[in-house]
Amino acid sequence: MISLPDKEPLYRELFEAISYFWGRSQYVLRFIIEKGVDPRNMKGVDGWYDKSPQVGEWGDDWRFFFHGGGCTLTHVQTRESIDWEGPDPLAFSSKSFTYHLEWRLKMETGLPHLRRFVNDNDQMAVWKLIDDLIDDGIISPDFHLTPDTISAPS
Amino acid sequence: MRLIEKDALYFELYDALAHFMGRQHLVVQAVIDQGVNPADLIKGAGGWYDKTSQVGWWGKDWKFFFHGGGCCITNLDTGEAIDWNGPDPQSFDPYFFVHHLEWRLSREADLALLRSYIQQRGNSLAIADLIHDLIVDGIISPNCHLTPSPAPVSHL
Repeated sequence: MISLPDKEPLYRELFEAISYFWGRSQYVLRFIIEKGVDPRNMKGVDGWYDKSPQVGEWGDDWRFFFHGGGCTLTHVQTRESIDWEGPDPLAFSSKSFTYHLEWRLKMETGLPHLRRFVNDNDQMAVWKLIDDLIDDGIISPDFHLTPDTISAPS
Repeated sequence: MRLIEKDALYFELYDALAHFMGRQHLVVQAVIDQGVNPADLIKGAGGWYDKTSQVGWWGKDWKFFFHGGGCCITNLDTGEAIDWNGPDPQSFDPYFFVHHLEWRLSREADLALLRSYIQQRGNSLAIADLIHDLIVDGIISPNCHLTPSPAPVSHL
């Protein structure tokens, strides 16, 4: 298995960005739970439709939007949009991550390697980079940052 | 009680905790890259001592330091130290979080409410009281998971 430091700096920056996004997605999970919805039941509309309206506000700062088996929180001032696709609380969605990355690249000056890569390619090409991390065993095929093989003591 | 019903200070705290949990993934990856199974850290030093040196480099930017059943990585450029106690990758240690928060407050201009709270208390460890409040309210689980173990999945 290839270790992360063996990869190009672009991949290390990508892993950090995904970790950051994973942390932000905890916000969406918190919101979903506070709506009385079990994230693990978010396999489709059935998971939330009888517990929450599809669209609404979460406090003064966030708007929510349930869609299929997922949910998006959007900040009214920064326009940060954090999307989470159910039903696995530990997983991230490549698509949701890419949209969030697009927002970060607009709002921040950092992430030089990803910025250059996206400028030279396009946002969706980031999916290929994520696939590379999966092929290397750094991210699990079910999009966990911590591969499932470590869940039990060896 | 729900997070949204609590004082804005707690919202900022939850935000900082979620940020720290994201950063913690880097430590877990560093542990894996040393050939150590994070689940084995339940054995304390027995989980890593025959697989890696206690101190070393994770790439060019990070130094790692295994301690008991945990590991700390420190960035040489920024001084950011991210510490994690195994074996649960989804759990955070309040003390390590506070230590990381101190670093953030020294580097960033935001987190105004947490900054003010610490200044008033005169001790950053007072943050542990706020974390305890979130646990009492059921927003954080007693084993320091941000997402409490949900009820069994229904199979509708």
